[in-house]
Amino acid sequence: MFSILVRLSLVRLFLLAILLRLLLMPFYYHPDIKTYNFQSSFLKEGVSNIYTYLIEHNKELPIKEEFVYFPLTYLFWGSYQVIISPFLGNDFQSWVSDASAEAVNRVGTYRYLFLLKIPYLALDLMLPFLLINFFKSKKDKRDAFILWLFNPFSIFIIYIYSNTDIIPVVLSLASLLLFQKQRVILSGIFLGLAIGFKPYPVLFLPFLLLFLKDFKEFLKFTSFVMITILAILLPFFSKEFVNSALVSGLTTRIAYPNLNIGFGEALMVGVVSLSALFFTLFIMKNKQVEDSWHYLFLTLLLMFSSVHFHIQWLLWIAPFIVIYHIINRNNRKLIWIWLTLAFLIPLLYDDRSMTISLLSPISSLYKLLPTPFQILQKLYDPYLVQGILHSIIFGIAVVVSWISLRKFYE
Amino acid sequence: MNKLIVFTTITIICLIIIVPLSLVLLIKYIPSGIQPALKDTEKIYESFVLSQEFISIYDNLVGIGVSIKNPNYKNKKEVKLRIYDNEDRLVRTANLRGQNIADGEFVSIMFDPIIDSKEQRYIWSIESADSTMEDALEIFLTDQKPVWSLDFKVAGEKVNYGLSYVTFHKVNPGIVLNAIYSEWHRNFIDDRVFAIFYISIILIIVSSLGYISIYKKEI
Repeated sequence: MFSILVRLSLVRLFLLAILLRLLLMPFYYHPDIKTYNFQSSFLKEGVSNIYTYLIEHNKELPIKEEFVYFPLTYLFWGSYQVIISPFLGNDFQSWVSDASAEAVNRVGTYRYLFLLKIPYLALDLMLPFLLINFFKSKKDKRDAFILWLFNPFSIFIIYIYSNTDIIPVVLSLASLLLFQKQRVILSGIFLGLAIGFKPYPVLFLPFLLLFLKDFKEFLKFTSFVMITILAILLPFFSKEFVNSALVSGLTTRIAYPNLNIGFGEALMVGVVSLSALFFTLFIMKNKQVEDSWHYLFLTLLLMFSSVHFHIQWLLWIAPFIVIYHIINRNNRKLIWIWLTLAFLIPLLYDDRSMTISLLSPISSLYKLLPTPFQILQKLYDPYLVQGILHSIIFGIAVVVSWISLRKFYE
Repeated sequence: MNKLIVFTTITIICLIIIVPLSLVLLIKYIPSGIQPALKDTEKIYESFVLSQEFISIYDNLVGIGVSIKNPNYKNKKEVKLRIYDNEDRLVRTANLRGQNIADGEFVSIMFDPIIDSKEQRYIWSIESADSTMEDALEIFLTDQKPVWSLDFKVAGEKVNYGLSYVTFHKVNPGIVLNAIYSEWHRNFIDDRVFAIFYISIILIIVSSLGYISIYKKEI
């Protein structure tokens, strides 16, 4: 796996990639990193079920958000904070609990942001070594390696918006690799672990099941996915977990937009798209497990194109875009246009933390600037612009899906 | 791939240096300080006027920043801000509308600069005569008044606490740049251990890159 680094030209690029990431790490801030680290800090105080704890103690807590992630996120960050506590210093707990806007301008902020992003750096640098296993030729491996390391979109998302998505991305990519090598038990465990951080890999399950050879494989794979998920979720299962994590974010968002067909029923655009994709695969004869990544890629492509998404979610599709770019040399411009437009949409949200406030660790004065939303508002309806961009990416997703699926049926 | 490497490297360098520097040009005014911690609120409606006396700590007074409650945008009425000098002469007014004020938003109310404002006393008042008690905007208060914030009156009656606000002062980009650099420098250098560690890591990587590029470039 590491033989790719034998060539010093790639060592040089690897070092440059690390340098670029280190330059960003301390100086850009999104409030999510503080929120989930504040919530995870209760692990070292012995809080086992963070979901019930946050609801029961909501009145006395300075930061009042619910814990919207799945349990492994809590366990991971809580444990990590314990490990690095000698380096965090005595003021970290005060900083992470500080709900005021001035917290990010306190001395120590650069240290905390740097240290808290180190796991992202490690996983981000590990990912290209996984990616190269999707290719056979040395040139393709090299291109994939470089494309991930110097992909500006993933760098922005990981080190600027710094949500926890890189962890399930790496785990689900590992699961897919193992799946393609027909090591279904390990694949199931990794997929279960990925779901233990964020639920989105559940979308992959129906498609992966269709690539399994026989009922024995089906049983092994699904059993180990279920056992892993249940082992993670059951200790935390409660009404508070359901309300905070299970019915938040994507799980409900996929129900919108929808088309009212009367009598209380609605057609859900996201579900329609994914169902069409699923049954396209269902009727296909001679499925090749090496093509399984393609369906996972199209799943995410169609899902993002039809729901209101957070910018950090785009990381889920990033490795597949690299694979698509290498394999589909004729049509790859389309997917980069898709990604660029998809990236622009959240920057136009009416949310300071998406743009201007990212610079607040450098100086609080940047918060005085208007957001792109406010600037655009003076010229045109920003919601209409978001809608137009989203409609365009939906159109591109349809075309890319058609091009990809046509290939399988030729 | 070389183009991508160059593009991404330049983009990151821009994000670290060029973007923060460029945005300095867009910052036209700076606040007098950090907004005091928010406590309760006071409503403004009909004849209920809030007035706050203060000493301007800088020249070019150009605005007041205050946090306002307006749940569900229920208030859509006109709001008036007035600035009086130490002889009770009206020197500036500014209008805004409740329909543009989100709940809990920090609102910057701007007016034409008062050039020689440094160390001068002023009173700013805020009112919304068309609002009723039911749909009144609520202005956030504080019990941690800065030293330059003086008497606070609610409907003409002096009270102990004050409004949670900052004043804005028009500045040139040089002053903004200096303020931003000072803030960054303080936050970076004051955490000495981290600063040394971080600079060392960067230097090690840059040196390694330089070594490989110069001495091993044949590979």
